[in-house]
Amino acid sequence: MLELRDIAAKAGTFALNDISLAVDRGSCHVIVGATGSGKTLLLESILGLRKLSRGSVLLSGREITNQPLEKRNISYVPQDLALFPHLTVEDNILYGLRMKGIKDREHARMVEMLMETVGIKELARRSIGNLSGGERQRVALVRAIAAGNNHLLLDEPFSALHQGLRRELWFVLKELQKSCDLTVLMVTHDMEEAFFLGDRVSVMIDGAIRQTGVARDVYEKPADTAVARFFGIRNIFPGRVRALSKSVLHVACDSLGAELTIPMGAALHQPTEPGARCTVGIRPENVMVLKTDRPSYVQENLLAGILTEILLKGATHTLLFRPAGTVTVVEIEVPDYALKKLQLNVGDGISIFFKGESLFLI
Amino acid sequence: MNKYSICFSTTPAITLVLFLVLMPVFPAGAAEALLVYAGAASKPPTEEAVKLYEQKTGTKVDLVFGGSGYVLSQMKLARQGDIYFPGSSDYMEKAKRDGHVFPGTEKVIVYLVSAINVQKGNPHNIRTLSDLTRPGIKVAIANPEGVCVGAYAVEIIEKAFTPAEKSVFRKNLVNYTESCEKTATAISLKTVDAVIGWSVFQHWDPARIETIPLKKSEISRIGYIPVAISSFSNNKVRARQFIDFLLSEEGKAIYGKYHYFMSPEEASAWIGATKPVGGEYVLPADWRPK
Amino acid sequence: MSLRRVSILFAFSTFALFAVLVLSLLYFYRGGLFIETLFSERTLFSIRLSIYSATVAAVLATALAVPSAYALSRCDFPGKDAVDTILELPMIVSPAALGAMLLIFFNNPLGNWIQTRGAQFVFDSNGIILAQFVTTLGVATRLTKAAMDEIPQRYEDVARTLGASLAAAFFNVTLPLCRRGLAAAFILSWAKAMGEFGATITLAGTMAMKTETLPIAIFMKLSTADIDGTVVLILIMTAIGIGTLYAVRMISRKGLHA
Repeated sequence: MLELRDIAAKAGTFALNDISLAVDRGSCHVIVGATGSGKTLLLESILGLRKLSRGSVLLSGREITNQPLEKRNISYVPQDLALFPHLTVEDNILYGLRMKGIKDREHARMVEMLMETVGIKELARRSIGNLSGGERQRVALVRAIAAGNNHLLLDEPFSALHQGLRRELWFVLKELQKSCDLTVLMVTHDMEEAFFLGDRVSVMIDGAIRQTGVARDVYEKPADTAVARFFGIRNIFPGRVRALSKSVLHVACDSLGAELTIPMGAALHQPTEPGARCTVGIRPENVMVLKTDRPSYVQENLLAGILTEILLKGATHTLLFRPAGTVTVVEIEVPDYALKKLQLNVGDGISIFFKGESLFLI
Repeated sequence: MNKYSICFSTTPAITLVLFLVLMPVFPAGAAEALLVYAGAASKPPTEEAVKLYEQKTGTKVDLVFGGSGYVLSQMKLARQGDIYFPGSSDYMEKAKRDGHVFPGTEKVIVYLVSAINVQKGNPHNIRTLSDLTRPGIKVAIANPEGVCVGAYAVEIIEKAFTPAEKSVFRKNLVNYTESCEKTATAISLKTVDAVIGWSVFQHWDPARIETIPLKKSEISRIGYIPVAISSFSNNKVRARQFIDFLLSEEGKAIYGKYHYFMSPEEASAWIGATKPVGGEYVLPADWRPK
Repeated sequence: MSLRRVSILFAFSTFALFAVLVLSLLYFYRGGLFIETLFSERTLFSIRLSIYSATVAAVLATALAVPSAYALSRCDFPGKDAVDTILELPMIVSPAALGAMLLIFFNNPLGNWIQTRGAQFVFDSNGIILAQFVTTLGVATRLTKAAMDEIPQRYEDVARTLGASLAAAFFNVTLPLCRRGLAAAFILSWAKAMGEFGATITLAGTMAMKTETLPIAIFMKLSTADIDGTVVLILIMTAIGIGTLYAVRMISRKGLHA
């Protein structure tokens, strides 16, 4: 278990402010953030490469804040992998064991098995310069694990690879994590990766953690506007609480020209009285499109307007919608088959509705 | 106006200003100046003499100082110069042999006598030549192959010591200095206990060097500092005038001030016996490593 | 004229400059004298002495340079700037001044003590090694530091996470990775030591068959107005020096593919 308590550090233009989080044993915690948000600085601070101005780091309950790097037993795979160019694949992987003076057969066999699991057994004698991107990544991962440390820090491990290879390595990492009982703290800017690999996800913006939670929760209910914008959600509409009951909130959104009905669980912290200002958001893929008359089951959160643009993207497409009587743009993400089925054109009058549970309050 | 065009337009202006400021540095009438190659052994008096000469006649004199053989090489290769003024006679002989000076123009300026030089106060109590063979004494002489005072020292050693004494002496001989002045500074810097140099060394650095005279039987010849007109000279008349100045009362007085011997008689008187002046001494084979 | 052509032209003109200087020596060249001088006991001694002392001095300089360069490259410490700047001292004051400083040092009580209890340096062949060592130390440290700067510290960091101590990380990661740069630093120090003159002649003197290195022998020949002898020795020194450097270059190139 890796724990950070109120970490603060500074390096050049990057700064960390009061970072606290805990990674449970055997789980994978992913930190998403943009480049420049301080993710690498955070990892370096945990390792001890940077001095902390405040706070402490604990490993399995033991404080390691002032321990030298080599005693912390945390493996690190940096963004550029830092594979030792002058050693073969085998020597790279065995480096950790050799440094600790461990030479027995059992460990050697374990390493062999690891290499086989990951698919690099035949590469043992190769020199580092002769590896492909995916091969290098695997070697780096195995090297980190083979050293015998159960804790692993990964800095944007797959960012340099193309999509197909990425996905393959996601599976490899998940497999390794399970079989070796690894506690992983990973940083990335790719949200899909975060949600696939992360048991828990933290969103880091400008050196501070804005939200932490189970991947699902963070995904569906961003804590504030900054996080929402980071996820690329642009459907963010200011509003006012008009009325509330035990189960729903009625929020008037002038920019949409409509009143929205939102179940009480939609917000992480609810506004309490009528008249309170709030912000409503919804993911583009949760906006439903109706072509003609509304089906009888749609009661509320229905908006009529004009389809102003269609942007084709491949697996999904983006539609831009303007509710009648407003200048607001609502972004809609539709899957390819749906677009084909709806047969929409720019300028069509359509209706959209929001499912209550898809809305979130900030 | 980008930064490059600013650069290009200010550079000529700066160059012009620099030129005007530095111009006085380049002497006018450089063609008239005399070029003198001089052995560094006589640097202080020669510099004074030159200054006086320049004041009197308005002729500029350029001095190239260095080891006598070294500046001869320079004169040879540069193929220019008016006067050769080495620190001792053997290089003048070489210059004459190789035709780089007019033999007829050679004059003697001052005379030199070999002596033992020790650190001021004579801490090792060296009184005679045989004291130099005492164990633990560090001695140096100038490189006999190149420097006159060194060759003279060898002659003295060969004459005074038995082969056994000579080999003991050579064990104490820790260094060949590469020039006259370096022989003197070897005492000033206390790198050796004694050198066989010129008696006049004491006056080069009276605070640190003391001269111990040799026995008159040990000295074979009196050295001298010669001067002659270089065969490369384009200015023989003026060169002649300069030499005449050195030989004049005024000139001699400067050298006398530095305690050089002004005549053979003066030198002989100091030694205590009459000795021949100059001549060539051939180094024995075991002193010239091949 | 493309930039490529022009810059190659400049490279060749540098070569031409030196080639012309060497070729002009042949103006004074006499074949018989060359052979005679080359095989004389005195010259052979000078060659051996030069090579031996340059090698020892370069080894010592590199040995001291490696840990110093590590500190300068990887660590931050008070006075780092001062240390870094003083490496240029030998170059700025000139070797002659350096030799004088060494001579003066051995004149003071500490230097005296070293000479009586330890080893002789003034007018001794040990002095040659000392003079060469002092003049090349700065350059050796600078070059070694540059070689280490090339190796990202990240390698050491990762090695340490795998359990290596700082020293282990240095010895089995950084050092092997910068060995090419280290070799270059050593060779340059050796070349500089071979050519060292000013400090050597002041401290060690000019006794033939004792402290006369090749550069000193060249100077002595010129001091005795022996131009022909000077030319012969310069040619010998050029041949030995350039020959060795070129051979090392060829060997290290082969090492790449071996």
